[in-house]
Amino acid sequence: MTIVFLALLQTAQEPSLLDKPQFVESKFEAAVDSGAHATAGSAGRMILAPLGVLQLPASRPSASGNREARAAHERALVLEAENNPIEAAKFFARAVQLDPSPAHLLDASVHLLSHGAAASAAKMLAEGLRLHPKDANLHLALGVAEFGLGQYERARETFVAAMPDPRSYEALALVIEAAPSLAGPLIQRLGGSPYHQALAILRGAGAGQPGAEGLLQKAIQQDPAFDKPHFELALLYVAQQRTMEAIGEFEATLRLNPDHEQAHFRLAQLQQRAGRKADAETHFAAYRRLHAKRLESEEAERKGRIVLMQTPQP
Amino acid sequence: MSGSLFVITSLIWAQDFAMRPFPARLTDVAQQVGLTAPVIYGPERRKDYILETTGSGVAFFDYNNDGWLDILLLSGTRFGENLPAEAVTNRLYRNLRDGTFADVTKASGLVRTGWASSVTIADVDNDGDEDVFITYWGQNVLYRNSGHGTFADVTRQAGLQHPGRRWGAGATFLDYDRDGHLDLFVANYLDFDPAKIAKPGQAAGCAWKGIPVNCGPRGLPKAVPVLYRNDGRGHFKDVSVESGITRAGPVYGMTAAGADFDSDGWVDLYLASDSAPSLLFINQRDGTFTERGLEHGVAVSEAGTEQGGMGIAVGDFNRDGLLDLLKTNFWDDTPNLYRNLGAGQFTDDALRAGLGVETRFICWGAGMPDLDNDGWPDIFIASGSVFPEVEERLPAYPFLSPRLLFRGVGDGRFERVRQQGGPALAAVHSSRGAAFGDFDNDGDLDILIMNMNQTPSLLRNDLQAGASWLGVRLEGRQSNRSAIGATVTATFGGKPLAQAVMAQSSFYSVNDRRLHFGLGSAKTADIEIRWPGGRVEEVRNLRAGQQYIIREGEGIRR
Repeated sequence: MTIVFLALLQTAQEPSLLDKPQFVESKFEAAVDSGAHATAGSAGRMILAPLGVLQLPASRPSASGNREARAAHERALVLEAENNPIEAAKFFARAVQLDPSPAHLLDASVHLLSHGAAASAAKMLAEGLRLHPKDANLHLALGVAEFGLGQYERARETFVAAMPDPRSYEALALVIEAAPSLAGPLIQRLGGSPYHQALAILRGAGAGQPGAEGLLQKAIQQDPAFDKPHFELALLYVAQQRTMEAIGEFEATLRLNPDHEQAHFRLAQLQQRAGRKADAETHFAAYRRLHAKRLESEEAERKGRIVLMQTPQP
Repeated sequence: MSGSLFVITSLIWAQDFAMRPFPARLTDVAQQVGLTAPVIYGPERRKDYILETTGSGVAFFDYNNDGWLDILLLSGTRFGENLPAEAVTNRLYRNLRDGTFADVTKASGLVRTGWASSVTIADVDNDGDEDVFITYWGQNVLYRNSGHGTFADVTRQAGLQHPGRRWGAGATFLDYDRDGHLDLFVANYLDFDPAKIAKPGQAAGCAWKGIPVNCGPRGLPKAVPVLYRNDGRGHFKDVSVESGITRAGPVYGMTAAGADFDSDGWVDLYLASDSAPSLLFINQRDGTFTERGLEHGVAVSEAGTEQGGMGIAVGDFNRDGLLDLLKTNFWDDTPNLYRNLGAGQFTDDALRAGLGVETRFICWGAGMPDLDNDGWPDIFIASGSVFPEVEERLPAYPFLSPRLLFRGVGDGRFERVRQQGGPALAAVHSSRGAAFGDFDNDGDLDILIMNMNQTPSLLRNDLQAGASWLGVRLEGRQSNRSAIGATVTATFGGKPLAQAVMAQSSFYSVNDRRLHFGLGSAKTADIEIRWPGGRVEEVRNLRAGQQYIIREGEGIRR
């Protein structure tokens, strides 16, 4: 079967400039390059990091038996690494045309999603799932695409179809956060760990929902070495203006994960406002150190990409 | 963060207010009132250098003291084109008091070509008229207002000549040492030399999502800001080192805003920075500043990441009597809406306030004007791309984009206004500077906007009668004559609303120095003035629907 690949990176089905904005305008955290201007990454601010959350296994070598398809896929990966997403998309599409394997479909669609072409990705994935109806990765990627198009109810069902894959709980939490009205019926269907249930409740009903706090505490009891429930609990307490408890949970997060940059930053801010200036300075310093290290690493990676771009390809 | 409760609450609010008409209607009347010359800033559909992208500011000010706002528009130029001076000069338009303007650039002595960036305006010599300082890529310029409709370039006499070629960016007059003489803060964007800079796509920082674009700011050298102290005799001295300004190190500085953010009676400085932490210089009351942006919560995003800071608005969006900050940012980001918690500590309320619904545009000039006079500040933002090359391949990132208006619906929340706000909101441009003021003296705020390589926009606000308003213009005596740095708090309807008198905000621009308070249904207001020299005065029972001039120590003059 041949997948008809729609115009690459086309926006025919994306909202027009003056449409009522939906979350689709936000770019995903995995976008390859935001250029030389810094942004906060609206994905994080807009709770739209499904690709980052799901960590779909994109950009892996092709194991296709079709030599031409394998070559197209490899070329696409090179072009992607060279920060040339438009040409890369063409080769990803070619690989899918020649061999619509789950790996090719996933890489091609994740690439499209990474660059905001959610409508194209959704079409490709819907067709791909007819061939591979039990592939959890393809379900998750389709859910991401639907989420990106603002089709929250459809995304909810797609993510449910990917259960019991643990990533589906994270994804569902995002759906509920974007569309709280979907929370009620969904939470009843959720299994999974207390942590994931808490996330779903938090995203769906907000920090005022008492169930989330209990579930996060249960998650901490079940796995005392897991830092994420502490961090979520701290954010919950911040939203409820329970400053001292928030400070305690950020401190617990950092005991388990001393390099948690955001925990240092948020803890420092709370301590500053609470008048604990010496403690705040310690955590601001840690944040500055970790942040600088991360920037250095990102800069090295960015320069590396440019070197790759300037190196003649065979 | 868990913001769903806010989402639900916002939906309820939105439903309520969707039923309510928005009575302010904005119409672009620039062409019909005589603002017919385009503002040239680099090529139209290609940008080889970052210098061609950042654009310039605008100003509403009353240069001839006739009580009507005049207009100053800054201009850039183009490399490699020998354009006549009249095509690429800054322009001064005199308000003819009948709703139209006359170009008086030549007669006023303000003809100048070059890459102008920002403007700051105040009565720097305390002689009763407004002087003008303009930053350039090259040499910044101080113009002294003669009081007779002309300006003289006094840069050299004032000691403001600097060695080498700098890219002057945001700048603001302020009286940081409370001696009654306005000092001058000047940010620099970056070290720019077209002979040394790579072309689009040819080096790190010269591509955006794989599409070759002009290089920078990352990858280009940052620059340090400068603070000049006014000696009161018409001369400025560079005090950047002894005042502590240079200790913050270099940044990609953009708009600067001076106001008393920590309510201690001394003016502080906030500098929006592109792709670097924004800086908050807290006045130490001894002639020095300490940079505390991170500690006060206004340097980076809520998650601790740098943003592409461009413009700044200062206002009191939640009406608690404290000055809040709005900072506009680059693509794929929301503005920051920093709520002042007291003592200059801030928290970012952008998502909780409802500003998170829009991230598609690069945002520049901004303000918190109360356009419908309902007593709650609204938020207006001008937008526009810096990469004309991108939209052909990625239409989701258009070069021209609309204006954003969010109405304040009370308690610190906002909702987006679209068609209800008039046809000027949907019009697409690549805009930069924006200024807010009542150019036709009809009791509502209008908006002036710089559009790259197009004529400017003058959005006339045709507000249906109903809500009342109050105008306040301050005249300093011990304080600087323009009262730059003053905070005025009007109390009406049982709640305070604070505003600051500033010499720059928005993006590189200057607003009407008369403070405008929408009063809603209130008929009177009490005001408290915190003068920049430290004096605190109260004036009670000011009647709505009037402009007041209040002189320091003497009360209402008119």
